[in-house]
Formats: sequence, C-alpha cells, structure tokens
Amino acid sequence: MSGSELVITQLLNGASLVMVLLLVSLGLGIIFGLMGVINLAHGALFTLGAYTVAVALSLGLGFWPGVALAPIVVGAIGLLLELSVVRWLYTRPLETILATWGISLILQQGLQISFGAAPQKVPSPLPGAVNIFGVSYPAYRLVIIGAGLIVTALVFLLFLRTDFGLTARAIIQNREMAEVLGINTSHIYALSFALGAALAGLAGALVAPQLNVLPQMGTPFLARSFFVVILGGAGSLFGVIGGSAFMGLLETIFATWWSLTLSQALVVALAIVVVRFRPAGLFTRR
Amino acid sequence: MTALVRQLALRSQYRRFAVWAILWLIPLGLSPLHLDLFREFLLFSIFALSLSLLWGQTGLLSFGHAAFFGLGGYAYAILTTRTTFLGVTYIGLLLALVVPALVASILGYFLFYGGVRGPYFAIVTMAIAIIFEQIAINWVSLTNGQNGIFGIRSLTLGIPGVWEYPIVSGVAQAYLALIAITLLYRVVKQIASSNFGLVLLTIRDNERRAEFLGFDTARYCVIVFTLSAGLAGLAGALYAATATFISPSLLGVLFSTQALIWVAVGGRGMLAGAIIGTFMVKTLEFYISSWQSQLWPLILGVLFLAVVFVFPDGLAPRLSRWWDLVRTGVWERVAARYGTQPQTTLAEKTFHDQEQGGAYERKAAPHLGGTGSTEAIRRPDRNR
Repeated sequence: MSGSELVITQLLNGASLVMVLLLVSLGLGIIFGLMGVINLAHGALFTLGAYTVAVALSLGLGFWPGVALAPIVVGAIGLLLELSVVRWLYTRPLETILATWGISLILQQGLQISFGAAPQKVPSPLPGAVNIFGVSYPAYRLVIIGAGLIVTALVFLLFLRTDFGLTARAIIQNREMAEVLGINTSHIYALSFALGAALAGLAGALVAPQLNVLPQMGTPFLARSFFVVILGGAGSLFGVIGGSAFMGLLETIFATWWSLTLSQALVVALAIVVVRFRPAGLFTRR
Repeated sequence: MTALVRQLALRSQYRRFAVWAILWLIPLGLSPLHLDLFREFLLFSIFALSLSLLWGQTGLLSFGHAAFFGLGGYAYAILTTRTTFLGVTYIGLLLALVVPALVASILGYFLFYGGVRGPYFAIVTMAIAIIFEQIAINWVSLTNGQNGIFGIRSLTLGIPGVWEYPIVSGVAQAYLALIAITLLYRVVKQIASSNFGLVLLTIRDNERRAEFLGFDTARYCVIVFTLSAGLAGLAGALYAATATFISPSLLGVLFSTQALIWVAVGGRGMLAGAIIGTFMVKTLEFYISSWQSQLWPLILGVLFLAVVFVFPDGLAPRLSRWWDLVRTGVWERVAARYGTQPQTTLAEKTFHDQEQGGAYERKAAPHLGGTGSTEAIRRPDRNR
C-alpha cells in the first residue's frame, strides 16, 4: 500500500469512527448536554439497540427493519425510564448518577440472563468493499458515515426548525419561564429523554455489525460519549460534532501506534486534561 | 445482676468494648472458608471507609475509587514479587500507601483547583478507573495483563532479620485485618471529628459558604482525596498480601461502584455505616451468588435504585435506632408509656428522643441538626 492510500484509508477510518462517536453521543448530547441528566444508562441503551437488531435478524425480519425498529423499542424504554425514575431526580444530579447506574446494571444483566454471555450474530448487510478515492474500503463503514450525516442533520432540523425543538430549547433555557408561558415542561422533558434514548438505540443498531454484540458492549462508549459532550461544551448540539471529531480523530491517530483499548484510554486521559483547562468545552467562546 | 448488666450496657465505652470483644472472638470460631470471607470483608470495609470519608463526609462522589485500591495492591504485588530484601513487605505496604496518595494528590490538585466537582468529578474519576484498568491490562510486562499477579508474598511482621512472622494462616490473616480496621477506623474517626473533618462537612453541605468563610475548599478536597486514596491503597495492599492474588478488575469501574453500594447501604453520613454496609452487602452477595450466580448484578442494580429512593440514609442509622430500642428495653418503654411503673428518667429520655428526632440521627446526619457546620463556622482558619 502506498503512502497516499494509507493516508486515505486512515482518513476514512477516522471519519467512520467520528461518525460512530457522533451517533452514540447525539442522544447523550440531548440527555446530558441539554437536559443536564447524567445518564449512566446510556451505554446500556446503546446495547439494547444492538440487541434489537440481533432479535430482528433471528426473527427473520432482516437487518434494515431491525435498524428501524431499534429507536422505537429503545425510545419506548427510555420513556419508561424517564417516567419511572429520572423524572424524580432532576434536581439531584448525584442521585441521578447512582440511579441510572443501577438501571444500567439491571439492563445489562437482564440482557445477559435472557440472551446469554455469548455474542449475538449480526452479520454486515454489505459485506463487500468498494473502491473510493483509489482505495478499497469496507462498504458498510461508508454506510455508517452516510447514516451519521443524515441522522445528525435530522436531529438539528428537529431542534432548530420545529415547534418541538423550539419549546425544548425554551425549557432548557429557563424551565420556570417556559412553564409560566403554558408549556407542559414535564411532557417535553419526557419526550426529549425518549428521543435521546432512541438515538442511542439507533446508534447501537447501526454499529452492531462492526462490534461483538455483547451485554457489556456499551460500556466502552459510556465514558467516551460523556467526554464527547463535555469537550464539545454541554448545552450545545453543535459541540457534539466538534467533540466527536476531536476524540475520533485523535483515537485514529493513536491507534496507528498503539492497541485500540490503549489509544481509547489515552484519548480519555487527554480529554480529562482538556476538561480541566476548558471546563465549558473546547469550542465555546468565552 | 440484670441491673448491673444494664448499667454496663448503658455506658458507651463498655458497650464499644463489648462490640470489639465480640468482633475479636469471631475468627476463632470460623471455618476456613468463612475465615477467608471475614478477612476479605474486613479489608473491603477499609476500602469502603476510605470512600465514606470522601463521599459521605465531603460529598465528593467518586466513580473510580477502586483505581487507588488496585494501585496500592499492584504496588505491593509488583514490589514483593520482583525484589527480595530485608523487610520488603514493610516497604511494599508503605509504597501502597504513598503511591496512591501521591497520584491522588497530583490528580486532585489538577482537578479540584480547576473547579471539577459534583457530576463532573464522578465522570472524571470513572474515566480514571477505566484508564488504570486499561494500563493494568495492556502493560503486560509489569502487571501480567489480564491474568493478574499470582503468588504475592504475605505480609511479614516482626523485626526484619531478627524475628520474622509471616502472616500466612487464615486466623493470622483475619487478625491482621482486624487490627488494621481497628486502627484505621480510629484514624478516620479522628480525622472526621477534627476541625478538618468539620470543614469537610461544611464543604459537603455548602461549598460556596465554606469558601466565603475563608476556607480554601479546593485544598481541603485535595487533602481528603489524598488521604482517602492512601487509605484505599493500604486496603488494596493488605488485600493483595492476604489473597496473594490481584487482577485488573480490582482497579475497574465495576468494583468502584460496588464499593459505592456498600457505603450507601450502610449509610453515607456515618463512618461505621461503611463497615456495616460492606458486611451486609457482601454477605448477601455471597449467599445469592452461590445460589444463582446470574442474579447478583441484577440485585446490585436494584440496590442502587433503593439507596436513591427507599433508604437514602442507609441502614446503619436505622439499625442504631433499633439497637437503641433493644437497649432501653421494650418493656421499660411500655411501662413508661402506660405509667404502670413510672420511670421518670427513661420517660424523659424517650420524650427527648422523640422531640429531637433522635440523637443518633443527628450523629448520623449532622446536616439535619446542623451541629457540624456551625462548629466549623466558629473556627475559620485563615491561613491563605
């Protein structure tokens, strides 16, 4: 492989990793970034999305219907969580951490008990490679890049161009004032949480063919997606893009020298340093 | 005779003595398996105690405290399996205290002066535990990777070179753990009830206010983080020295959160709660896991929800309430209530307890009575 081919492959690797992180973190960008809920069950919701696809495949529904089903299933579970647990803890962030961690353990172990500890089979729907920019690259990774772009665009449209987005942003800015104006804030909060959960589920479903579908598969994404949101600047959805780019590209660069897990750890270490010096995020102007 | 016993039981110092005496007799009557568990629970209690100092007393929720427990364990393990010199286990123990404390002081200085608090601190500490676990897994030449380190040397007490006594037998290990927790509990108790400890309580209740009173709160956070990490490291080393085995999972997030549940079930506001909680949760874990190994993580999750919604103060304050009931004697309460045998002092005491909401509650949660904080307010140190 020539030098330029290597660079292009690495760039595509970087782009697909950035998109994976973006997909995983968008939901958290809503739940943690906008609503301020420290949802440690986010990784488990991601896992649930992947399992939805696995179940859809085993039922003979096929991969893409499974991907379509995942956000619905996981969004419904998210709604249930908001109504039963998260709703009571909006003013108590530390308690939220404990409770959502408990939920995460329950979901994870629930999957382990129902499906066993062995990985579920989710074969890639597009197993081949395509020629792009003179290199042959796995087709499904390109699909993920495309899906990441489309989903991100849709989320931005939803938040910036619809009534739901407008009310949601109003509540986030000032909940009391929004309530005074007659907005049913708890309603919108529940919907936003469900939306964030649905996005986590969609991410899990899309990424499932690339990973071992295991009950613990969401865990490595948990801390990373939190740092994506924090680095980008909690409270801004645009920041999620920047955060994903920062974490994803660095990880790709590190991964050329070190093992994958080690480079993930290194990136998180670096993120801690950045958070210390720029607590409001990398991309916020002060 | 009963009156005498009751008199003795009412004096707190005798009562405490009785509790310790019973605790000290336990190892003599245990089977080898239970002896191992007893020792393990005691050492985990020290770890829980360190977390209780950080979380319960100062309000800093760490999601990665096992990083320091494991660091201490690894420091001891690596030193004692690779080198041999006179008194190596002492140095190993010292290293297990110093290395985590040093790491925590650097991290703490870096984080606390940068204003990392609350949920952000929880996420950052979680990340730290993940990083430590990854290092322990990937740095195979030093840590033997995923397999962990076997055959760690037992702690050798006595005078090196003159008279040495390796702690190998189960009973000796259990007594080592008992001595360790007795000493360390007293140390932590001293810290918590000192002026320094009162400032920590103030920080927990309202850090802004503590700052306005002239305290350099970040400095207090760094110090308590360092102390807590050193204590956790010591517990880790004692664990490594008695279990003779350590693996990366002892550094990880999952183990960290298990310790959180020990502290929370026991009672966050009460140092003894950490010990009681560890014993209760670990006992439950032992019996449930041996019955249905898949069930325990599920119950762990339910416990997390329970400490948020059902018993946020933990069980230790409740236990101490029941203990009070038993101690004063149920029949005496009945008598006092119905006046068949008027006992003014007891009736007054009962009334007092009811009115004050129970002294134990104020002891357990000073922020309810506010005693701790006002005490701290009266003694501001302005040495900035």
